[in-house]
Amino acid sequence: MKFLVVGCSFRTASVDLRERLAYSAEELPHTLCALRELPDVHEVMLLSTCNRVEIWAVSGRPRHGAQVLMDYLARDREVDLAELKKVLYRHHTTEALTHLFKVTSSLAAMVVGEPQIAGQVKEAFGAASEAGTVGPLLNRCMHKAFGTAKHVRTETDIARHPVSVSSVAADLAGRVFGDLANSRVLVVGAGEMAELAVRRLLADGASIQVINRSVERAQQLAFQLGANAHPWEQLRGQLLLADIVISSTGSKEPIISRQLVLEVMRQRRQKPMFIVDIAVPRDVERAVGELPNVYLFDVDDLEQVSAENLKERRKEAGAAEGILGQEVTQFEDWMRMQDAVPVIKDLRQHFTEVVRAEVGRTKHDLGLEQSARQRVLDSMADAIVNKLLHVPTMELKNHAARSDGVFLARSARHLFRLPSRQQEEDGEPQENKGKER
Amino acid sequence: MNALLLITVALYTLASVLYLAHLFGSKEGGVNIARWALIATAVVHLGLIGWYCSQKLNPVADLRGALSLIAWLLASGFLVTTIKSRMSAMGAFVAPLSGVLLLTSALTPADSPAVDQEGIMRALGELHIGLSALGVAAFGLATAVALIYCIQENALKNKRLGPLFRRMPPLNTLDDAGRRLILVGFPLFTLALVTGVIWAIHLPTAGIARPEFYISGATWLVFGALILLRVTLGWRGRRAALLTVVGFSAMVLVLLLYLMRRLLAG
Repeated sequence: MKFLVVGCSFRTASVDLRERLAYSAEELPHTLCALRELPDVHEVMLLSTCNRVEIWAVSGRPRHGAQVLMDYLARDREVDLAELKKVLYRHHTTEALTHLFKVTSSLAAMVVGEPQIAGQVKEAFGAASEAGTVGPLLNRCMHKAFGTAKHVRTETDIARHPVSVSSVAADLAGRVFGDLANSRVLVVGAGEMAELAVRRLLADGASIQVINRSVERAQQLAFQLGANAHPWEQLRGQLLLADIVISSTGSKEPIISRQLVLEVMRQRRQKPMFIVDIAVPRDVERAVGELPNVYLFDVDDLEQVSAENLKERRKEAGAAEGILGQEVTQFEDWMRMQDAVPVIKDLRQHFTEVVRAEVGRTKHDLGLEQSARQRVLDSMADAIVNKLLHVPTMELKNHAARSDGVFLARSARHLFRLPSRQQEEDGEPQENKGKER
Repeated sequence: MNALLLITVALYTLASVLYLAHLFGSKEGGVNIARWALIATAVVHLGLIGWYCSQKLNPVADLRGALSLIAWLLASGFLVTTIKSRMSAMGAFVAPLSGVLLLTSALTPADSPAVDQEGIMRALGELHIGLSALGVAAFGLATAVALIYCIQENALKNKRLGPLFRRMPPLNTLDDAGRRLILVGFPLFTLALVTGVIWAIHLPTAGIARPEFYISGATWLVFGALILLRVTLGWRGRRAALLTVVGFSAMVLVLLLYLMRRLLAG
């Protein structure tokens, strides 16, 4: 059995095509069942995110399996097959495993190291498990992929460098306040940018307050975020209470002046204030950042931090590739070991049958069939089988992880005339197409 | 120098290198090794103090013993502080400081007026030295926290958010730790001053007309003012950190004056 990946990503397909190929959560169960019914597809799961649509499968004949899956996609999504072939990548065996581990570890993501993809892969795996399209191989492989993703995140600094405005702001605020669960966030302005910027803080458990010139809009955003809305006149009062201020109004003039913050800071006894000004033109006077215990970051500052963090992530991705290589090799070794299991089982069964038959005949000749001493002969027979098969079993296991493993398994079957099995017969040459690795 | 002392100094050097590598190195990690190295150092150092005690060298009887005790209190106090909070960056300041203090202790001549006293005066002298050691250790830790605060705050204000920035604790954690340490150190230091004044007045040779006594008084005023300003005007952050550094610098000056006096006397 071999792993197989067929799919497209933001690197190979336009957003229009990705939208057409995407599957919703509701479509997944019956699609997975339909995929599982296809010839040469033994196990299957489907990953559909805004950046990629991929089918991960286990197949006895991966080349044929890939063709079958491409045909299905073209038919099901009503896309011209020739057009689809241009954007779909097809990997199998080592390439497929490497790709799968890369995707799960967020090394193939648009923003390298963003953690969302691991959650999306887990959801896709959960959906496939529920649909009953995951077998032992895919199950083992996915657990290895999740383990690898965790390994990459803990062994490298890839996750320690936030890059989105929301996570950079939350990370910097955390450098001031530590735990953000008890912090109070004031969102000044109720635009989309404010909503995006506050999402991470909301996830960290911060209490959110929204203030806007239009109270209705403030209430609308507050409702969406599960926050409280306040009228514009309460700006000073809310600044007094806020730990973190996120400002993104459309005002042409600064609305938070140095004088205002100076007075507020005196009133709040210099309790630290972290201000994120994502408005253009700026909402907060630059001089506010010079006040003691006030930390001001505007859009340029955040973008600079984000760019530096992205650079760091890319550096870390190099180290992560090394971990990935080791994990793929380990998994392939385990798979080859599994290939040796059927021949070892058959060999043991064959030897046991031969020896037991001979021992049975001997028992009959000696008239020991009813005697308690026959157990001694049975034990002796088992011991002979064990001793005879010890070395061949070890050799088959050891060689299973090497290139001559299949040859040895086939030779064993040939020498002892054991029945042939699919795993050892499957010698399909590798072929990988597509741009994404 | 005995072998145990050399081993302790070597261990402090090792712990310092490991903590500095953790803070300033290109790769994060290794903090656990540094922590275990410092735990081992503190245990060996405690053994050294115990050995001195067995040789009738009381650690609170003179400056030599007091410096060694301060070094041990700093290292142990730091290890206790890091049990619950992520303050390992402090190790890069505390471990070298403890090492230097222990080395200075080893080079300081033994004997002091305290051992010459008998009965209640001797006890008073030892109480003064013991309380001073505890106070200096608490203020020393507060100063390590204050220095880290200044570095961290400077990085945040100037948007220089390199690897060093990521390895330091949040500003609020540092400010809070500094406040607690000063609150622990101040009553100990106050008692040390009171016992010191009573002791000095009754000493036949010394008296209270020495610069180190006045500087100690000024140090007490600085830390007292810091607590008062925190409570009344909400002083915190950089200002509080800088005042802590000023107070501890005065304290170091007092120790240096004592040291010079001992060296000249020796």
